[in-house]
Amino acid sequence: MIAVLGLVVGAALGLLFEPTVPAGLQPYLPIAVVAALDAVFGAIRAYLDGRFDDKVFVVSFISNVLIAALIVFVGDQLGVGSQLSTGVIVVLGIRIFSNAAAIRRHLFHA
Amino acid sequence: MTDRSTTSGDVTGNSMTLLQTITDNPLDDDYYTHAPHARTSRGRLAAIAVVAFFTLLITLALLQTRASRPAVETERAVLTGQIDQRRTEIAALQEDVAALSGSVARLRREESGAEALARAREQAAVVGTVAVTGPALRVTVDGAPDADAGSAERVRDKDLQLLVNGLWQAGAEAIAINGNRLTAMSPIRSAGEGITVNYRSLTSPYVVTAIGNPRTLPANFAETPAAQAWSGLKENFDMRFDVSARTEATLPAAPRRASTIRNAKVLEVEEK
Repeated sequence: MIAVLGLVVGAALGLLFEPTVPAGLQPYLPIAVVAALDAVFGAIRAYLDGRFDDKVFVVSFISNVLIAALIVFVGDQLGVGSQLSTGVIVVLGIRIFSNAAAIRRHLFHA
Repeated sequence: MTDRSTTSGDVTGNSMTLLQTITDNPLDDDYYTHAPHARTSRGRLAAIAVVAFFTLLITLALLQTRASRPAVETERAVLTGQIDQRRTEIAALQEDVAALSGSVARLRREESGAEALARAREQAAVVGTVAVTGPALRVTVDGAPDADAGSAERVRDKDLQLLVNGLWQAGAEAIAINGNRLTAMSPIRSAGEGITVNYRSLTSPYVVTAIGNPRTLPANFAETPAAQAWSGLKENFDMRFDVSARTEATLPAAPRRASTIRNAKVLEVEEK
């Protein structure tokens, strides 16, 4: 219920207002999305484990997004932005797949 | 899940362990470090806000990617246009190159044509197909004044041939008889009562004009057997044999029929 409500509100906001991302933040939007995805999958898994916590979810989500963006930003400043982005995406991707596997085990018992 | 602390506590630092840690602990430990709070309305609101923010992020990324796609395609179209344009330019330039090399070849031909023309003029002077002028020796011969028709005292073709041959021998460069220029193909022969040169009948007296070196030609000619024979003719038969030097004489070109080659083919043109 919470998730569905949030999804609807977020999609409606994005589609209706189409806020423009500041040009300086645009490079970090994709990596932030991937980090958020990781936090969301973690939350879903914790929810299925019965250990979901609002506070942990909010904090981990925000910190994930910020840290991922920060890493890419620092990488950009050092001239290795694309490589660091790749690294972040690899790590987050592995986590997402592991969480997805746990979720799958919970849902389908397989 | 229970042995999470042992795997994450591995401090050997090798990369396999690092990957192992990542795959073993996909979930934030935070969820397991303390017992879940009681659900509060504030926390629920925060979760809604975070999910909304997450969806907003995804939507924005989606929109941005979709928006930037036309730009990429436009850029590609521009590049393709530039490629096409450059190709057209290259084709035009290659056509220019072809045209220019054509004109280079043509100019080269014309240049060698000019050389060939100069050589042809030179050789035409030798052959006799152009008029020439220069210092000359004039030899006037005639039969005896009271000679009968067909007698030995008249000038025969052999006498003229002898005379002309003597002039060539003395170094003459161009010879004409009564204004008929001799070429390499000019016969001197009897035809009935008269003598023909270049198939044209001549009437006596015969004036043979030879262009040559003014210092050597008269003396050389005087020493030739031809001049001596003609001197004999003059002495014995009272025939006319007058030799006079001219500072300037003009010999006409031979008629076309005396210099037309129909059967002889040039083997190859030698480039010099």
